[in-house]
Amino acid sequence: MDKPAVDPYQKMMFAPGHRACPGCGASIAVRLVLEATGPDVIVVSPTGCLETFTSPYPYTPWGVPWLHVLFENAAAVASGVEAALRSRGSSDRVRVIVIGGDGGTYDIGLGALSGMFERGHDVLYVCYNNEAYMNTGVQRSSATPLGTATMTSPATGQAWGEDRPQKDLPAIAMAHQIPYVATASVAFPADLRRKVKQAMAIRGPKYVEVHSPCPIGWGYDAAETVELARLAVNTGLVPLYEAAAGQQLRVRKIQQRLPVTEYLRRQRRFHHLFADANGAHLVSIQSVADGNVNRWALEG
Amino acid sequence: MIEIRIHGRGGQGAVLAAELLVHAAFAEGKFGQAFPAFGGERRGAPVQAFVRLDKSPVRVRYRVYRPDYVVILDRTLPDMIDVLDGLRPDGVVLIDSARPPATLSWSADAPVYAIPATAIAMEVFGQPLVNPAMLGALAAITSEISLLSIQDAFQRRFPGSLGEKNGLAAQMGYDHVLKPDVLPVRVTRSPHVRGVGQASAPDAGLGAPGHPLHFGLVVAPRTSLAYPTGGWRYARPAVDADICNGCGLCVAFCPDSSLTIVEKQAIVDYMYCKGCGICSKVCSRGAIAMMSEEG
Amino acid sequence: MTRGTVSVMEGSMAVAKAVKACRPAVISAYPITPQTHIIEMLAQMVAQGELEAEYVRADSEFSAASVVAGASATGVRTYTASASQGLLLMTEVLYYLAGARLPVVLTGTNRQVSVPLGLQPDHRDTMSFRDSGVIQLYVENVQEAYDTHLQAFKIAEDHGVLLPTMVCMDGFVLTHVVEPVRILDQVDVDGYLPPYEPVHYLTPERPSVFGSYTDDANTLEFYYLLQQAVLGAKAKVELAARDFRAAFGRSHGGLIDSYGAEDAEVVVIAMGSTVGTLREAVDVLRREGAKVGLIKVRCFRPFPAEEVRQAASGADAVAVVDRAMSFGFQGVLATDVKAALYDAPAANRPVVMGTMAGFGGREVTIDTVREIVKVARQALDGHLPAPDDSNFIGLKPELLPVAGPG
Ligand code: SF4
Ligand code: SF4
Repeated sequence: MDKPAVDPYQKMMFAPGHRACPGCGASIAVRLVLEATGPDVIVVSPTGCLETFTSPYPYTPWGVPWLHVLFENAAAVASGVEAALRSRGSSDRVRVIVIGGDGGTYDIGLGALSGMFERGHDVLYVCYNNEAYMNTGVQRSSATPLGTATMTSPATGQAWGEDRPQKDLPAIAMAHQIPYVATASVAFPADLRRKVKQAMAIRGPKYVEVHSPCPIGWGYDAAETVELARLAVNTGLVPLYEAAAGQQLRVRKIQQRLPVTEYLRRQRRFHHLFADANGAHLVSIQSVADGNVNRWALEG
Repeated sequence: MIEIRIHGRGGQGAVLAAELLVHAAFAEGKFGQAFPAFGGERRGAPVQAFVRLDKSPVRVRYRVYRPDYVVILDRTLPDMIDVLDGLRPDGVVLIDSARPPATLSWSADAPVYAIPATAIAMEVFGQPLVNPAMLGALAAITSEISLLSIQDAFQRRFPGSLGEKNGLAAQMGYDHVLKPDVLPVRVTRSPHVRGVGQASAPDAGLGAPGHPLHFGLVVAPRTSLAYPTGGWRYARPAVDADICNGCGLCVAFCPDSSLTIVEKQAIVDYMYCKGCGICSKVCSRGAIAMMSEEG
Repeated sequence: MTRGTVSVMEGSMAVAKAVKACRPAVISAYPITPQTHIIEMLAQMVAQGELEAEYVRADSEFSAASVVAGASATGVRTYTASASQGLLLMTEVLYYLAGARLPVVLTGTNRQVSVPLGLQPDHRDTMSFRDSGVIQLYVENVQEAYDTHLQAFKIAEDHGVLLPTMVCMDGFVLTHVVEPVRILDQVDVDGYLPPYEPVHYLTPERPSVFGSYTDDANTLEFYYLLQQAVLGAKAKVELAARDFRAAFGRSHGGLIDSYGAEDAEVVVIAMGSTVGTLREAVDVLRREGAKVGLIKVRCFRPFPAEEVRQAASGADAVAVVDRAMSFGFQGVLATDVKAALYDAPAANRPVVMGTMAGFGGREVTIDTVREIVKVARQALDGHLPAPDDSNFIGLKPELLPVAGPG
C-alpha cells in the first residue's frame, strides 16, 4: 500500500516531510513530547538542528504554533509568549513549551534560561540533548561527555577528545528551586510521555532533558538510535530521574547494568578510546557512570 | 572551460568529489574551482557541488547552470530533482547504476552513461563509496583530466592502503567506460520528477509552497507534507503482515512520523519514510525487514 | 488650543505616562542609565494596578528584547526601553523584529557607547540600527517625547507598516530634565490609538510558524518587501503626525520640521535635543543679520530624502550637526544629507559641511552654532576647513597629543 486510506496527517502536531537526517533522535523526542502535551501549546525553539530542519521556508512539519527567534534567547522568548498569554487571559488553555538542543540550552542560552526559571514563568523547557553542536557540523558544547571526539575537541596527538566533564544542567535547574526537573530518553517513550505530562500538570517553570542520539555527530548506523539511547541509560551514563524543588523524587532503576564500553564502542566519536593501549580513559568514563549509579542509586 | 555539476545526497561525498577534481586538474597544470551549494541540507537530502576547469584561473563566482557534464552519485536523485537542468546540447550524463540507462526509472534527452559505481565500491571497500569509480569513469569520458591525476588526488587525500583502494576503484570505473559494449544511451523522453505530496489548503495570506512570500515569513502549518522525503531512502522497510500484530512500538520511534497502525497493521508511508531502519530494529517480533531500494 | 493638562514633570515620567496611556500588554526591560526612571515608573504603575500589563523583569537587555519579541508574536502590544550598551546588546533581536515585522515600540535613551565608558548623550547607540529596518524617530523636547510615543505605536502597528519603532531621546538632557508637559486624558489617547490588531499571531486555534530559515531562493525578494515596507512607513509617519495635530492641536513635524529654512542662506540640519538650542540660535543669529535656518530630521529611518532636498535646496550652504560618526568616513547624518542633495539640480545644490557637535555629550550652545555657521560660510568661500570633512567643533587643542602611538 503506498498511502494509508485515512489521512493520518490532518491533525498531526509534527508532520513528516521535515528535513532531519534519517534516524534523528531529536525528531523522535519532539513527536513524543507533543504527544504528551497535546495541541494546545505554543512551541518556541532556539536556532539548531530542530529549527533548521523544521523551517526551510515555506515548508514546515509543525502543526502547532511555533516560533523561532534566535539562538540564545528561546527561554526569554517563551517568557514573553507566556506573559502575552496571561495578558490575553488564555494562559489556562494554552501552554508554552520550548524545545531546543544542548547548545542553545547549556551554553549560549543559559542566561536567558536562568532568567526564565527564576522569574517563575509557566513554561516547560525541553532540551533534546545530543551532546554537541550538530547543526554547525559537530563541535563540542558544554554537554559533550568526557572523551568525546568532535570537530573542536579532536582526538589527535595527546588530545583524547573532550577532556572536561559534562556540565550538570539539570542540577543547575534544580538549584533554581523550580517545581519540576526530569531527565528522559528517546529509548523510553512511555517514561518520557509520563514525565512531560507530569510537567504539564504543574504551573511554573519546568525542565525536562531528553537524551537524543544523533547518527551524524556520534557516528553510528541510523537504525541504532533507539538502541544506543537505551545503552546510555543502562550503562549509567545517562541517569533518568525526577526532582522537585531541588529534591530528588524518583529514579528509573537499571535492571541489568552494562559496562560503558558496550555503549562507547558502537560510536565513532569514541573509537579513539579503544585504540589507547592502557584504556585509562575508558576507566575514567566508567567511573563517571559509577558515580551516577551511586549518586542516584540507579541499581537495586 | 568545462563545467561539471555533481549531484549527490548529504553525506555521500559530492563535495569531496568536486574538490578532488580540482586537485587533479591543478596537478596537470590546469586551474579550477570547486564549491558546494551552501545550505542547511542534512544527510540523505539532495545536494550539489560544482566544478569548473580551465587553462587559466577561473574568475566567475556562481553555480554551474549550464553543465558540460552532470555526475549523479545516486540513481534515485532523478526522481527527486531535475538533474538535467541546463545541460548543454552536447552535454554528457554519468549516473551510478548497475543497470543500463534505458531501464532506469528516469530518462533523459542526453547521452547517459550508467556506471556500476556502487557495485565497484562494494567490491573494493565493502561500503558504497561511489566517488572514485565515478571520477574514474569521468576521466575515461572527458579528455580534460587523466585517470592518473585522479588516482594521485585520492592517494594524496587518503595516504596508504585506502588511497590505493580508491585508485583501484577509479581504475575500475575507467575500465568500465572503455569496454566496447558500454555506450552512452540517448533517450529522448523528457525527464520526470516525482509528484509531490499534498499539503492542506493554507490559511489565507500565510506562506506556503506555490504562494507568494509572506511579508514576515510566517508559514501555514504542516506544509512539509508537500515535501516527500521518501526519495532520501536507501532501503525500504517492508512490514510482514503475517507477523505484525499492530502493537505500535515502531510508531512511537519513527523519527519521520511515517508509520501508522491501520486495522492492526503497521503501514509505512513511503512518500516520507527515509528508511532509517529504526522500526525494523525496535520491532520485537521482527516483522519489519529493510529491503534495498536498488532492488 | 492644544489638548491635555499641563504639569511639570521629569522627561522619563512623561514617557512612562505616554506608554501607560497606550496600554501595552507586555513590558520588559533591564535597567541601564539613563533609561531607568522610565522603567521604574512603569513598574510602579503596574504594581499599583494603574496599568494592567505584564511587567517582565528581564535578566539582560537581550532577554528584554526577546521577551517583547515573543509577546509581540503572540499578538499583543509591547514596549521596552534601553540605552547605549543595552541597545547594542539588543541588536540581534532588533534586526529580527524588523524582518519578522513585529511592531514592538521601544525608547532609546541616547547615551554614548564604550569606550570611553560614559553617560553622556550622543547618537552612536541608536544610529547603529540605521540599517536594521527599525523605524527611528528623534525628539527635541519632553512634549515631543510624550506625543511621539503615542504616534510610534500608531505607526508601528499600521498594517501597511508592522515594523519595530524606536523613539530616540537624548539621555539626561531629555530623560532627566524637569519641564512643563501636556498630558492627555486616557479617553483622548484611546480615541487616537485603537487597540492593536495583529495580522497573524501564535495561537493553537490557527497554528502558524514564525521565524523560518531560507536561502537565496527567497531572500532578495524578502529584502525587497522589507524595503517597500520601511519606505512605505514614511507616509504613515506623516499621517500619524497629521492625525495627532487634528486631534490634539499640536505638531512637532512629520518626517522633518523646518524653522526659518525657506529663505535661509545657511541651513543647519540636526536631530534630537540640540534642535531646541538651534531654534534659539536661529532667532539670535537672524537678529544679528545672518540668514540662518534650521531643518530638524525627526524621522531618521525611513530617511526623508525628498523632504530634506526640498527644504534645503534653496540654501547656499548646509551644515549638518552630527552626534554619531562612521569612523573612517564622516558624520552619519551628513552622509545621508549629501546623498539626498546629490539628486538636486546642480544649480540649487548647496555646499554641505558635516560637523561633529554634541558628539560624546559635548554641549551645543548658541556659540557652538555660531562656530558651525562660520564653518559653513567658510566653505561657501571655498575654504574647506577640514579635508576629511568631519569638522570636530570645539576640540580642545591642549588635550591632543602632538604625536605618538594611536
Ligand atoms: S545532525 Fe543529528 S541532530 Fe541534527 S538533524 Fe541530523 S541526526 Fe538530527
Ligand atoms: S524506516 Fe521505519 S522508522 Fe525509519 S522513517 Fe521509515 S518507517 Fe520511520
